[in-house]
Amino acid sequence: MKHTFRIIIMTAVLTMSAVAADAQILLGGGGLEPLDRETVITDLSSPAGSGNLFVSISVDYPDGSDSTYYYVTSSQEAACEAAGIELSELMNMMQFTDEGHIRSYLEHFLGRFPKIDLWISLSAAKE
Amino acid sequence: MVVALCMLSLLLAVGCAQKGPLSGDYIDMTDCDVPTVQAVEVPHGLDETLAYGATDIRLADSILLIARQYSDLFIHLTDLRSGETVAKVQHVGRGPGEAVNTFYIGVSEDGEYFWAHDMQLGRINVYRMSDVLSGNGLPSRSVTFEDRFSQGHVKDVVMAEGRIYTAPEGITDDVSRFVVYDSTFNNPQGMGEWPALEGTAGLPGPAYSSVFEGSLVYIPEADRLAVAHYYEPLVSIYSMDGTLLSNTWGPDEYMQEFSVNENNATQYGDVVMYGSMVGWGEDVRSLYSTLRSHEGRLYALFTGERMSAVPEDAAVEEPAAGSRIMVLDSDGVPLEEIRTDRVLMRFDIDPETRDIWGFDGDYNLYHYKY
Repeated sequence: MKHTFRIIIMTAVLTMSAVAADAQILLGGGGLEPLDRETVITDLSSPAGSGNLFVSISVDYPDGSDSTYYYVTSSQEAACEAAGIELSELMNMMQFTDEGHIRSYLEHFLGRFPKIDLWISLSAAKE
Repeated sequence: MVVALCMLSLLLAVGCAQKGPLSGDYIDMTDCDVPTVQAVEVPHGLDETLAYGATDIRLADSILLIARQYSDLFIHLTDLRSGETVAKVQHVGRGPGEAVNTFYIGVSEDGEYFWAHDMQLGRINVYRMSDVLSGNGLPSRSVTFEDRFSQGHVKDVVMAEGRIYTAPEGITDDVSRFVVYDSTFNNPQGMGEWPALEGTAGLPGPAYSSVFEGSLVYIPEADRLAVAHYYEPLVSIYSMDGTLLSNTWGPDEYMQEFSVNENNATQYGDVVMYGSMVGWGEDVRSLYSTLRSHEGRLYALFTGERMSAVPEDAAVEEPAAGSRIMVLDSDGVPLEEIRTDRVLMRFDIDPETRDIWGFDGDYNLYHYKY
């Protein structure tokens, strides 16, 4: 079952990546709702604020709970390590490239992270 | 003798107005008696995480290339003689030589170059193997298609005769069997015939590329293109101008049900998401997942793997686990069948050394000899 699930996930990644690209050109001026200003974003970049990748990691835990972690970095592997996620626990990956929408989502954090040009969204399931 | 048996089948089809899934002449593998070889798995001794997040795998002489998600660099190169990863290229990003995503790798016939298409940026990065192996991880050439939103899903990219050939899955009305670009990845031209498969006449334009989605290769020895289809047991061979030269049906008889939804747009607040126009039945199977071309022959990986969970009360018996690599000549005549005991998602093969490398849906890497 697990390997079948992964086949479907791979297809979803392919589909969603391109479809998301198409969807972005159809969005109106509003873009995405901004991330709440109280959200904790961990800066893994050095020097501080220099990272170009915004990485969000949504994690499902065995007890049914879930959490989302946010990082600014130049390495998605470093973000996974910081979130305590093993490679084998990753389930899906999507990339968002429209800078307008990334800026809209990170409206409250642009001053702190001015170089972000790519958003990688990962999902993981702890075993 | 094998060729004679298949040719007899073809002649009978021509002379007897054969009733089958395809209009016109086609080769039916079920009528062909080809030798079967069982490949034997051999321990590879490589890092067991090497294929984690893998989306493609290629062989170039003794170098194993794996395209991976979940890594800071998309393409990992391993020297099979030493077992060591000797290079990683394509850092995640938007800068020169970087990529937002990479799924599939192309390799030139002589192994001197490899390339990868970034679907998000509409960019093909081409690497010279010798440069990469000596420490230069930047592409020797990058070409970008500016209007990437109109490209659809470009997967396999063939670079041949100074042009770039793709077989995209599109969601717009003007999608064609093939979309051919010039060497700068511009000036796209649609071309090519869709197979005349039963039940596919009169479909909306965008549906054809979903129904006939497949893996594309170039056969340099015959100057032909070939497609092995994901949802049909069908390998189609074309001339370089898109003329359909032959269809080979099999090895199993599958006619998968699909529906067409012309209202394939879904609104989420301000966002309109377009999905594929084609919906497959709940028991849809992945048939041909990968096609390779080596020394004038085609190697088509057939699994028949169900894409959803098997119901407990399933009436239809599941096929035996494992994969079948169908070996065809450049006319589509079956020559041989190579079997593996595991279901591989992607693979490559070296006919000279008789090695097969592939990975399964759990990202386990396998090495076979045949």
